[in-house]
Amino acid sequence: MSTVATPAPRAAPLGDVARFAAALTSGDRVGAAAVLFIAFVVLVAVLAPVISPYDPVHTTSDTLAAPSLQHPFGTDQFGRDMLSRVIWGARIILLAPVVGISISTVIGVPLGLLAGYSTRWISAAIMRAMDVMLAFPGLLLVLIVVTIIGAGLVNVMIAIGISFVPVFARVVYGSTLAAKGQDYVLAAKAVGCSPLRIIAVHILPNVTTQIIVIASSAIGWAILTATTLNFLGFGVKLPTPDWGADLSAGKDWLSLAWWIATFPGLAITAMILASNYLGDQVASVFDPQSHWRDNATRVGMEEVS
Amino acid sequence: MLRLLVRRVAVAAPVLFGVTVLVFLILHLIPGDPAQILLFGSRPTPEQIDQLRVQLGLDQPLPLQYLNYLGRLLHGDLGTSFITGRPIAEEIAARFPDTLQLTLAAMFVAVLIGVPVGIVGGVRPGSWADRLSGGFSILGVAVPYFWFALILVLVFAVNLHVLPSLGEGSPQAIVLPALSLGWGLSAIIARLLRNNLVEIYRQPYMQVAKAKGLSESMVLYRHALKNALIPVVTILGLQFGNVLSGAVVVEVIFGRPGIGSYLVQAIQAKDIPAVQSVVLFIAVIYIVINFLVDFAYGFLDPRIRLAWTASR
Repeated sequence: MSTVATPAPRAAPLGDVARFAAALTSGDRVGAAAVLFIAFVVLVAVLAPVISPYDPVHTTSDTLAAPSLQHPFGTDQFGRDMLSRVIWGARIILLAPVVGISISTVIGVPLGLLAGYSTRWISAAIMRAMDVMLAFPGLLLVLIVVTIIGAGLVNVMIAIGISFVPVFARVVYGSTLAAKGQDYVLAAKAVGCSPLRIIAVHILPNVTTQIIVIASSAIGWAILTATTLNFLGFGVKLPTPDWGADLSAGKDWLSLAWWIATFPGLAITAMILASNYLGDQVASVFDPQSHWRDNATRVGMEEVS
Repeated sequence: MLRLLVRRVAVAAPVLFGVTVLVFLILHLIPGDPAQILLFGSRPTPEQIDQLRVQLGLDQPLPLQYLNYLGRLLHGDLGTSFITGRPIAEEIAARFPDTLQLTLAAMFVAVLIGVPVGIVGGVRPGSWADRLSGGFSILGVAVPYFWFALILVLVFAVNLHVLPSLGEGSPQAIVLPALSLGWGLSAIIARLLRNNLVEIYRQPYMQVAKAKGLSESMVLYRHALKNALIPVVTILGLQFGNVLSGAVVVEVIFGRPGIGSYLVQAIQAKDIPAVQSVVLFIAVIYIVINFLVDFAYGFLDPRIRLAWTASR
């Protein structure tokens, strides 16, 4: 579980991980259920080759079959088993936020630290560039990056990552500025620590919490965006099983086979719902007093920025 | 007032400049020769590529090219779209009214649903009505609007045959797209309004209003709603850009010929000038609206105005 929730730059000792997992699944019942649901989806994704009843890309003559005991989620227009496709599709739905948010962290955090700790000009240059990126609505920014680097699943994940860089940079920048004025940083400076050491040893650990909170609150958005791009056909290419792409394929068969779009749609909804609760859980574990993380106010990017 | 305007312009202008730079750079960030990218799909001869390179000044240094680009933009020259063969400015002008109509209809739907749901929850926190309202807000954010669109089509067009699912023309054709696009925002509005109302009902002036003997609806309309709706208006302004970019997906689903479906076609066909222009167009609208919301908010609320003056 904690592998999803902690894209932190600092690896926690095993005891911490166990305690973190325990904290995540305690307290709020709905939140705990959400965490367990995501754990379940992870398990499904890992065990896909074992538990999938059919080959998800194997076409059969049993096309557009309604849900039955044999095919609980029905079959699509090529006779492929929808349950197997939903099971295999879990891999992409999990991969997208993990890869995307890792990229945002790896680029956004150093930019924020640098902007917060360096000279006025470098800081202004970085933060103005971030402002420019945030001047585009989130989805539009992702589409721009896809235009530049091209379509494909990996590129969509990169685009999601890049589009979230300014949010990470802004949060880390703010926290770095706050930490910079603290006595312990001044003391480190006074004893002659190099700027790099001050950033790595004294400032980074103090912004880790905010990074984890932002990262976990971004999961739902990353999933929504990844499925949107796959729905539009910029991500995976059919017949690769993916919830967004299957939803799009089911669009053309609505009047004949409602199940093709319905089950992937339900799966996406459950995943976003659970991710939003996971974000809340993570935030409350780290900061019991935070009030900003209201489930319903977190749809676009600006709410977290 | 004037100082406020100047300050806000000073914040928005560099962003606007940066946006034109980024949009200009799209063509140059794509791996490969810009002239060849622009002629994508037309199997150009080397002479044609050279000709275009000279024609567009692609052989000049980058800063000079940027200035040329800016000059063309200011003259309203956005280039020619090769998927349609028409000037891009004309394409956008012909398609934008459709997108604007959809966006405004979606925001109307969002208010129409979000405000009553928010009031129902906020007036009696903890009640079953509040729980329903909260459930609506949570689902509204979690259900992806492209799936919600398909559910609407399935129910209202395929099964009940009461509303058309595709295209435009009849006034009813906008109902399903507007519902799909406005639904997420209605959840945000409902939650925000509900929380504001709960907060406001705790204020001393509400106790006074009740103690005066005003009826419950009077207290709600005269005292609570007026204050609770201010942040909702702000959210409406700030979310305009997100709704506008969400129109991209909704237009594709419902086959509406707006700038959103044009953008998707342009990306698929690698029609880079068209992508650049539509993206720039949406970003500029987004910036202008944020600017207006920011300015109006500061203008209306002296506390914010004073905070700005103090911080700069």
